[in-house]
Amino acid sequence: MRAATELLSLLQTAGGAPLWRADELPAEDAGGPTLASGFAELDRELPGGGWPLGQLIELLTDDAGIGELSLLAPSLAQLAQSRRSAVWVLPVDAARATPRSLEAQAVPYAPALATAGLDLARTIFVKPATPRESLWAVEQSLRARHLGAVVGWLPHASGEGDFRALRRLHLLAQSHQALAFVLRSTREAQAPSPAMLRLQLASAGAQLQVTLLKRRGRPLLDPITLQLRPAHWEQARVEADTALPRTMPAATALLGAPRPLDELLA
Amino acid sequence: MALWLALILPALPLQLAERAIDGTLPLAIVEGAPQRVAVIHCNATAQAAGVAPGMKLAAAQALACELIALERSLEREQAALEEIAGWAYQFSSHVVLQPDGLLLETGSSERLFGGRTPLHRAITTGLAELGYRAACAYATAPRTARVCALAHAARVDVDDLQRLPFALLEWDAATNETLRALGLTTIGDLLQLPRDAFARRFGAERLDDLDRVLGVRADPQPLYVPPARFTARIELPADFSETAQLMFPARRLLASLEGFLRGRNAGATTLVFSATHSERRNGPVPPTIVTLALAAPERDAKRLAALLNERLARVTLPAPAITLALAVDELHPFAACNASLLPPAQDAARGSDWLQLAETLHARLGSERVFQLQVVDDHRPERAWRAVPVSIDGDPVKTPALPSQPRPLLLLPAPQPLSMKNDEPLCPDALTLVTGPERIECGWWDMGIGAKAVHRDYFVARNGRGHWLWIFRELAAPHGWFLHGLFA
Repeated sequence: MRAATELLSLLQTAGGAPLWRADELPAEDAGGPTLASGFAELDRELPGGGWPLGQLIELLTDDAGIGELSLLAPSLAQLAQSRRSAVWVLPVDAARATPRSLEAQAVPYAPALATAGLDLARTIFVKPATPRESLWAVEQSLRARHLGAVVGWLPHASGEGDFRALRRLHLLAQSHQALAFVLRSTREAQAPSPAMLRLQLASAGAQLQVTLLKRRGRPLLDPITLQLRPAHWEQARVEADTALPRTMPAATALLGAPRPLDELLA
Repeated sequence: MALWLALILPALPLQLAERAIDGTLPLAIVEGAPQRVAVIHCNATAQAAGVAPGMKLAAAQALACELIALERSLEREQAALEEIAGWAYQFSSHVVLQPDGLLLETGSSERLFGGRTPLHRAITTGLAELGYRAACAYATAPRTARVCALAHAARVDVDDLQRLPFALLEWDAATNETLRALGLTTIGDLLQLPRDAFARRFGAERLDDLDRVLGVRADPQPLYVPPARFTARIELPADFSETAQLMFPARRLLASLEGFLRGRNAGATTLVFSATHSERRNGPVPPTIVTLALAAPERDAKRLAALLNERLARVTLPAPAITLALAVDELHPFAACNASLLPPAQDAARGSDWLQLAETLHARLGSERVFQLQVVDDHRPERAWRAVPVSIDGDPVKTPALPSQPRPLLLLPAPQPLSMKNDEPLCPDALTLVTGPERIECGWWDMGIGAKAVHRDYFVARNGRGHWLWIFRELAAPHGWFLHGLFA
C-alpha cells in the first residue's frame, strides 16, 4: 500500500502521464456526449456528468407516479430547447388486464408538460396495444436519425427474449445521439441488461431515492436522494376545512337584493 | 443526335405471370379453342419437366402435374406495355408503344443520366425490378433499333445489318416465301436488287420500309402520352392467402409507380391497393381495399413498400387473393428532399425523418394510437388538453397561457372518488394536504354539450407511499373527494 502511494505521488510529480485511478469516474470524454439531468446530485454521480446520449438508460420502478417523469422532464426540456423531437411510448393500454391500475390509465397532461418546458409540437405519443407493439415502437423511434429522445414503458418485458430485444434497442441507440429511456419493473433489477446505466427509483419520504444499479466505472453503493418538487412543499400544510366555504356564495350576496324596476328608473 | 432504344419483351404473357411470384413454379401460357388448347410459352421449370411450346395442354399437365396453366390475354399484355411505357417516360419523353415492346429515344436524355452507360444500366435494372426482361438494341433510327433487337444484336453497323436475315423485317409470310424462293436470305441480298424492280414486284411500301431500316428515310413515330392517373394490376398465378405474400407483387407495382411518378415529376399521397379474391370457396367476396395515406407526397418505392408492409400487418384476407391492383388518382407536385451537405440542422427534427417516423407508426398502429398533445385554453383541467393527429406542417400551434398553479404530469381520464375515513380522504393511506386550495369553477355559460359543471377546490397532497397527488373536493354537496392527477 505504501509503495502504491509512493508510486502515485511519484507519477503525479512527474506530471505529463495521464493517470486514471480505479476509484474515479471515467473522464468526461471517455463515454461520449452526455446531457445534464438537471439535478446536481445526480449529475455528480453519472459518468460524464449527465445522461449519456446514444445509450440505453434503464429506469426501474414498480411504483408508477413516484416522480419518474419529473426526473426526466429537465433533460427533455433541454432537448426541446434545441428543437429536437421526442417520442413517448406510453404503457400498454391494458384494457383487458384486470384490475386496471390507475397509473396505466393516466395520460401525460399537456399543460403540465408544456409548463415543464417540453415541446409538444415535436413530441409524438404512442399508445401501444401489446408489449410487442411497445418494443416495436421504441425500436422504430430509435431508427429515426434526428430524434432527440425516446421514453418507453416496457414493464412487460421479461425473460431471455427480452435481453435480445433490449440489446437491439441498445445497439440502435448507439447509432444516434439520442436520449433513450426505458422504464421497466424492478423485478428486472437482478436480470442481466445491455444498458450501460441502470437506475432504480423508490420513494424516500417526500423525496425520490435513486439507486444506481449499474454505471460505467466504480459502482455507487449509496442511493442518491433527489428533491423533485418545490422545496416549500416539503413543510407546507393546509387544512381543508378552513379553506372550504361549505356553501356557494349566492348571487344575491354579490349583486345585492333585487330591487323593483321602477325604483331603478326613478 | 437521336438514338433509339428498342425494347422487345419476348414471351410477354409468360413474363406477366412470372413477375407476380417469387419462386419457381412450373408455368405455362396456353391459347386456343376449348378443345385444342395448346401451350405457347412455358418457363424453365416447366421445360425441365418436359413441357414444350406447341404441346397440348392435357399432355403438358400429364408431364408436370403442378403446372399452372394461364390463358393468354391480349388486353392484359396491352395494359402491361402501357404500364411499362408510363414507367419508361422517366427516361425519355419520346416513348413509342409497339405490339410487343417499346421504343425510346434516349439520345437527348443521356446527359441527364450521366451518360449512355449509366442510362442503359438504369433502364435494365429498373425493368428487372418491375419483373420484366427485354431484348434491347440501340440504333440511330427506330426501325433499325427494332430489327437489331429482334436479332439480339446490341449494336450493329451497316455491314452487320446487311448480314441479318430478312425475316427480321417482320414482313408477311407470303412475301417472305417469295423472297426465299428467289434464293435471297439476308437484308443485304434485298439491297442488291434493283430498286424500281423491287418496288414494282413487292410494293413501294416495302422499299420504304427497307429505307427506314437503313435509316435513310424519315420515320416519324406516334408518341406515347402518359395518362393522368396511375393504375396497374398484377394477376397472381397462385392463390395468395397471406398478406405477407402480397408484398412481392406490391413491390413490383410500387417500382412501376415510382417510374411513372418520376416521369411526371410528381408524388402520391393516397395509394389505393385492392386485392380481388377467388370465388371458389365461399362465393363472391368483396375486394380487400388497403389505402395508404401519406402526410406528404412521396414516390420512393422502398419507403412506400416499408409503409405498406406495416400497414398490411393489420390486414387479414377474407379469401385467397387472385389479383392485386394499385391506383393513384391524384398526382401532387413533388419536391425531392435534398440530402444536406451540412451536419443535420436543428430543424431537421421536423424534416423528412420526423414524417417518416410518424407515418411508420401510423401505418402499423393506426391513428388513434399515435397522437400529439395540445394545450387548450380552458380552465377546466380535463378540457385543458386534447390529443390530435400528428401534425405535418412545421407551424407549432400557438400555446395558450399556461396555468400558474402546479399541474400534475399525469392526469386521470376521469376523476377517481377517494374513500373516506373520519371525514378525511384516503389514497390509499392518509393524505397530507400540501398546497391549496385552488378553486376551479365554471359558470353556466361554460357548459357546452355534455359538459358537467365544475365547482372544485384543488389541493396538492402527499400520501405515505411517496406519491404527490392532485386531488379535489366538490364544492357542491356531498363534498366528495376525488383523485385527478399524479405529480409523477
